[in-house]
Amino acid sequence: MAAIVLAVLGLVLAGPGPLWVDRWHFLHRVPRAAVVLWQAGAVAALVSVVGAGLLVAVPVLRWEEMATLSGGEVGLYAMVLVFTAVVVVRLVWSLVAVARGTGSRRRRHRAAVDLLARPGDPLTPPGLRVLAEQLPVAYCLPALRGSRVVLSEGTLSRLRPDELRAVVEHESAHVRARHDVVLDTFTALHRAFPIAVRSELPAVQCRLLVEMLADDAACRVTGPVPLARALVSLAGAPKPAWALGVAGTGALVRVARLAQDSRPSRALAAAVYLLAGGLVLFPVLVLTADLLVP
Amino acid sequence: MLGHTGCVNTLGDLERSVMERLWGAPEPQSVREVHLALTQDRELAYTTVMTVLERLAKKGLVRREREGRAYLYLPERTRDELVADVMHTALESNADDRTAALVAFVSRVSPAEASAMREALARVESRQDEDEPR
Repeated sequence: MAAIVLAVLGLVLAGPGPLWVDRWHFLHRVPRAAVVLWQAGAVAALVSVVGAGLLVAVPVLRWEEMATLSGGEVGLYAMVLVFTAVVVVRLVWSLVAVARGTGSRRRRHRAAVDLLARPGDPLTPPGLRVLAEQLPVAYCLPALRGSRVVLSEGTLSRLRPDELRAVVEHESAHVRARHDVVLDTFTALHRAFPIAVRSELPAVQCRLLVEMLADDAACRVTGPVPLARALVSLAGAPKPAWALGVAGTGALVRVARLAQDSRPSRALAAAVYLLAGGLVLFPVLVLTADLLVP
Repeated sequence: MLGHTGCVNTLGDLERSVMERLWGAPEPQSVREVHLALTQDRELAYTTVMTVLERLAKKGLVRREREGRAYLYLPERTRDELVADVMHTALESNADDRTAALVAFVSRVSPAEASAMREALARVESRQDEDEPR
């Protein structure tokens, strides 16, 4: 029974669950809690799938019970066990692969940026690099040590000082809070699940939510207007022909959000945290209850 | 505005000079040749140049070739190729199926979306005016 409950929960969390939560636009008012909710959903899904697999396979793990089973049943249970093990191994492997891949790409990119950046004048902070390019770019390369915030000449000439400040504060917030780790984890999770059941919504939503977190950090320093102007100015900047037509759907949502009441709602955040906690706790309780009560 | 740092990144400056030299040279350079070129306007130990070249090789920026008993160094990519590489990564970072190496401030949008964004910006600005009447 518990195995069925967990299996259904796992399927709901992998499939329709993200579709519902994706429509909860009020989550944009509490981005931090929302990220935690998405993380909780991922953990709960994992616990459910693995828990269900283990519960089904329990008879195979007990010799005395196994003797009473037919060959076909043993085979079926063994398959479930193998499937569960594959899910776990794939996830761990995916986490390692994503972390290493991102790390090495980032190091190569950082080496190139350091080389190409115009010689630092004493006014720029240590991690800031300015490329001598007319195309406006603004991004960060987060790292444990040696993070970089990269701008181009085009960005400097396009933005007014307070707008520039908002951009730098935004990127520094990413670097400080290591938002990239959140994103990498969701990318790894996304890759670890079979194509049939995985949803890219958690990864997409979390990418937007960490942008909102960084926007909030910038707003606290410059207020919403310079940040909104910088967003409009850089999102509307000319795109070179070779750049892929990547839809920057988040850009409009972010500016629209700055026009709304930005006062954080403690009650809403608390409710979302509570939901996140419950989401993780439920499969854990079902699993332990079934294992402890024979 | 952005804070101060007194120290100049000397190692970075040195790496840049070495790369400029390799990029400017018509053919692969030995440590001696690079050293000679760099010491025309400053004091620099031979071993320092060697260390810098080895660091650049480790970072994948220069390639080392054996020529008789000495090693010759040449840039892995031209300066323009390196710039193109960086700009490609910078502007395509939000493509979904590869892990983003970097976190971009905002990605480019379509003209329709850009005008929607300007309308939203107008709302942000008018709200600010309400909050702080002049």
